[in-house]
Amino acid sequence: MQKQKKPGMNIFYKSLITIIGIALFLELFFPYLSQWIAGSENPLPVPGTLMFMYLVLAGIGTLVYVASDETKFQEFKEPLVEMLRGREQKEGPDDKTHNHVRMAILVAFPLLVGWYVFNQSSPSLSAPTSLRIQHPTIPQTYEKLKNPFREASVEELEQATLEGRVLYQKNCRPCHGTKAAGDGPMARAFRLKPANFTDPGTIATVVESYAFWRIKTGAPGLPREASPWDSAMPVWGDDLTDEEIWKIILAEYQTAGVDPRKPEKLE
Amino acid sequence: MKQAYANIMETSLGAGRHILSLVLLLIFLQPLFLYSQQEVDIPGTRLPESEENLAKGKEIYTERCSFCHGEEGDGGGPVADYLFPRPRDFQFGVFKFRTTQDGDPPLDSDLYRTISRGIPGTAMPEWGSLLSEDERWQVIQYVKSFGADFFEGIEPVVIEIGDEISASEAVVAEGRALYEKMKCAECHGEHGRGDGSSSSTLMNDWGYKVYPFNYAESWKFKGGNRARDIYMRFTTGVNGTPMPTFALNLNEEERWKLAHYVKSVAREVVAGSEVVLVAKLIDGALPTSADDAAWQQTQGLAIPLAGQIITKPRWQNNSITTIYLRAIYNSDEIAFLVEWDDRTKNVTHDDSEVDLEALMADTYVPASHLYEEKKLRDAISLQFPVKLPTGPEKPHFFWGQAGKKVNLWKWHADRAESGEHQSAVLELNGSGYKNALQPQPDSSQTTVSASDWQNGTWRAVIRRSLTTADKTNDIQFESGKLIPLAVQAWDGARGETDKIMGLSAWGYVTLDSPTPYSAYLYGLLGVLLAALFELWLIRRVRRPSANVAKSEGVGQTAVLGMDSGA
Ligand code: HEC
Ligand code: HEC
Ligand code: HEC
Repeated sequence: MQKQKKPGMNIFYKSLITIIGIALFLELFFPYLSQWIAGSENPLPVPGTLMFMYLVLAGIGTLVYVASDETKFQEFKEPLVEMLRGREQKEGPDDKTHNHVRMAILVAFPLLVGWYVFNQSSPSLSAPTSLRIQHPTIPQTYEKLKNPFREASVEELEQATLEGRVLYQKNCRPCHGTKAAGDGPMARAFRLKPANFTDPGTIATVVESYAFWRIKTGAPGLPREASPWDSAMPVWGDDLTDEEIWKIILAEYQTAGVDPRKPEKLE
Repeated sequence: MKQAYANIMETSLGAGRHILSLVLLLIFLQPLFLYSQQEVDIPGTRLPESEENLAKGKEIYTERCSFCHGEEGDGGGPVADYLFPRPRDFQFGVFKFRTTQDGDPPLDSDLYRTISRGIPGTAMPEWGSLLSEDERWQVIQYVKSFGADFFEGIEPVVIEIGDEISASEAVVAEGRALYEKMKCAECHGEHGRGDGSSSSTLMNDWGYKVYPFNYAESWKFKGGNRARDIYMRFTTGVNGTPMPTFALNLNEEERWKLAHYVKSVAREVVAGSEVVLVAKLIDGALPTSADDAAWQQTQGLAIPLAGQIITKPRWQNNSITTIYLRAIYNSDEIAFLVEWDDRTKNVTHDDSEVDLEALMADTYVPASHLYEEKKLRDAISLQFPVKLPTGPEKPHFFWGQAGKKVNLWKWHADRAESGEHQSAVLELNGSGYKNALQPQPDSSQTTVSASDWQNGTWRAVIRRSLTTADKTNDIQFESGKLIPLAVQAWDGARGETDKIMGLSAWGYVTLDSPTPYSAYLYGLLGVLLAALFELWLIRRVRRPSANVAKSEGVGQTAVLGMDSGA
């Protein structure tokens, strides 16, 4: 049942190469990309569970693509079926190698599965990974608050910012850093790093009332999905007045060189 | 027009938010970052000094440096009182990190290096990531202007540094001999832990306390931790402090040898490189002392500590910044070896030394709190959750929270010294930092300990049975589980007591168990099932008729089959 060979590579091998390519990208290149994005000191490897998820996604994607078209699917299936069935022995060196490779794969597959199962059922020594939502929903009581200094006179705003800067440097600097880059001298010891405010993904994506909520209620104010048990963020509502917190917010954005997200306007 | 605020999560951010969460997630999964010191390229050409550059420098200084160094450059900015060491007073032209001879002003390139890389272990941050090259030269011109008299008309003598002699055992041994001969130990201690006989009495030129450096914490070398940096430090001296120059006492070869010895004191395990402590399983009795050779067979874990700055009294000048752990267990018991550097042995405790109420008046405890040595005990504690977590959810790492208790094993140096208790450890329970720690009843105090202090290092061995009768208050160790573990530390001489302490985030301890037989069984089962599945597939494709009819089905089963095998 010999089919006429189309020029170019079989789609099965193409898919395989794509998936291997994605895996290599995630393994070798992505850590440096996220290091660059996050401004971290070391490459940030993709954790095992995520890697698995990404690859499953890539696999499903390829399958959907392949299954979208009958001829593609036939072509895709062909090497698989051929591998299972084996080639007829025609004394060709090609067929011989094929059959050797076939045997190797047929033997290797169950062994690989066994090895994987074995690994999964032996105790693991690496730290568990967990998902964390950085910006959970703001409680309603905080949603509508406004920074009183934004509506004050220019002089008042300037004065409040100046005072806020001193309060920021005194209270927040040990963790969030004097440059607001999340690199204060105490940051070294915390696994969940103090937020880097110069990163476009932290305070620049939230409105000021959101920052107010986070500063006032700290780690204990977070819901489960934001892993409050790992956050060192203090409950500043215990030690600072609301006015002081609003001043600090002015300074926090200024020091980091970013602007708060504008509240959405509805008609 | 009505104004409404967007709900941050649910509305407009959409996909962007998910990408964001993933980026942050990755950061979180990263083991604690290693503290690697960074080196600076000093540009060959520099921005010339000018009136205009001075004015620009002033702007940058006022915006970024004045909180610490003061508007007038007197080291008295609004944050200064909380920092140890204090920010530098620039008015006397005294600089620590130079390549110029003792007493001479630094080169501009020396200041460029310090400002670019920061001063590790202090509040002085690196500015290389924020200020451009030109901006750095501008601010340097302004910083020098505070002590202009000390720069003008002086041609500093530069210390030339030749080719490095590479390290070897012999070089280090000769360096050690020079360390003894030069009497470095009087300040830096017998084994370089900064615990020398005069270490508690030293003052800097401004009348503030200064401690000799502990070479073991190599990430903290202020002027750099390469052999050439160390060479430079004791050749130039650290001006403004009692650290003298040894330029006249040592020739170049000797300096390299001494530098290599100093460098060799660094501890091997780096804090934060790992987060899981593996307790090793042995047959027979557990070691009862820190000297037992069995400890050397285990893998150590170094845990970094921050000052407790979550609640008042906040303390950012914690003395103990790393704790080293090892663990061994047998069928009945587990033993931890806890090691940490502390230049003073403090085994008495007088609570009246510290007025906590007064220290809580401000949001942070001022650095002056440590200037007078206190008669308080040294202490450390190991912290575990009482209930092993089943998911990611844990008690808060700072003494737990209501409804999620932690079990603390708090070792007290005074208890260790008095020998009145079978253990220096007091077992406590915590349910949040706002609630007082609750000592457990005597019947639940079941740990055994042994400890010693030598040459600036405490070592404590703490032992307990794997499981106890008091299941509502005690951690029960189970093998094959990741058990959250955190530590806290107090250096009594520096006034650390109560919440004035160093603390860590959660790490883990796990009892390393031999692979259970079931794992082999499952593995074998996996092989068998996969092989059967394969045979079945082959049989199906052998029959061309069935193959054609059900081709789609076969393809999909193959793929799904692989997934479910996983
Ligand atoms: C003990 C260390 C510590 C101190 C001190 C501290 N923070 Fe934080 N902060 C954190 C940590 C850790 C996080 C990240 C985890 C989280 O979101 O809770 C954080 C997160 C935040 C966030 C949320 C940012 C975002 O985009 O999700 C804001 C806003 C914030 N801090 C503001 C402040 C302000 C203002 C101060 C000073 C008044 C301060 N923090 C002091 C540790 C600290
Ligand atoms: C958060 C506080 C803080 C800020 C902000 C700060 N410094 Fe420092 N700086 C310090 C401390 C603390 C020291 C002293 C460290 C020591 O003596 O061991 C220091 C020391 C120095 C030294 C002395 C180096 C030497 O060789 O002795 C220079 C120069 C310096 N800082 C420049 C700057 C400049 C320029 C800026 C602004 C761009 C700045 N600092 C911002 C805290 C700070
Ligand atoms: C009189 C006491 C004294 C003697 C003697 C002394 N030192 Fe020091 N040394 C100090 C002090 C104090 C510091 C800390 C200075 C600081 O933190 O600013 C220090 C710091 C150092 C540093 C670290 C600098 C850094 O980058 O953080 C090195 C290296 C050093 N000394 C080496 C030596 C060597 C080698 C000898 C013997 C040849 C020696 N010291 C003798 C007091 C002394």
